[in-house]
Amino acid sequence: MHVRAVRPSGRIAPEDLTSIGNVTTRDQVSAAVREIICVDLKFSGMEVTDDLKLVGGGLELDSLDLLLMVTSIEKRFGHKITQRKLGRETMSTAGSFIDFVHQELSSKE
Amino acid sequence: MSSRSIEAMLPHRPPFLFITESVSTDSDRAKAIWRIDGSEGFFAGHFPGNPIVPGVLVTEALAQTAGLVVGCRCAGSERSPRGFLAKVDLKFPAPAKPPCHLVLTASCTHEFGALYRFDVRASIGDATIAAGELVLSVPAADLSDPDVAPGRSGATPR
Repeated sequence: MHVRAVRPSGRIAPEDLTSIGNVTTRDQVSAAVREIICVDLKFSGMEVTDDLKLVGGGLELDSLDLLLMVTSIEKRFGHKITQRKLGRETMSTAGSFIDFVHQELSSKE
Repeated sequence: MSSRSIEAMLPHRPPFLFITESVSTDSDRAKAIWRIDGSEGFFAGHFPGNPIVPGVLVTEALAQTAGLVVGCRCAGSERSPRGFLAKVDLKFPAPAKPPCHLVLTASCTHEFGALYRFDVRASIGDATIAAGELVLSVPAADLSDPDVAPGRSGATPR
């Protein structure tokens, strides 16, 4: 069983966000997205579930927040997201974004 | 690029057009120069006897350099090339003192709806004066999509 290393600050250890055996799991992507929402976007203590809406009634993120999510994911996983695939569907909920990023990373691997 | 060409790409005009010369511009990056001779009016107050280029003006000059890239991208499209500064995250490792030639570079890393994110740098010789990122918001012909308009969905208090 993979145990996630959490620092006292609440940040997840970088080694936990790197690929294991060149495969990035959905859990790793989920942990990264959760950290971005709770730490980078300052929704500390927010319970990030797959059905959490990012826009329109949930977190109500604006486009600057969404751009920050994309660039933060890119920095964490060292992978440039395909911009043209981003849109209302891929960023409607935390789960849809996690699925999209996981799929992106899987196709790279 | 001549000053007339620069004015064709940017809506800014003196005394608030800080790009003196465009060295190179394409749809991904731009390099420009702001020649500062010390006679600029703001030095009378910033600071008397100790002229330093205000960081906010360096920021504006970098935003204008990024605007040249947007101008290139929007050429021939329905999108207005007139963007607004939406976000800035810069560090200023050293002050700029006149006279100097401030070399400005802007490289577009992301186009996200109406937003254009840039890595930017201002330097004098080998010395970095400012470096970091900025985001321009460029109004689209159709802003009905709330996903591409910053702030349109409202900010949740946090």
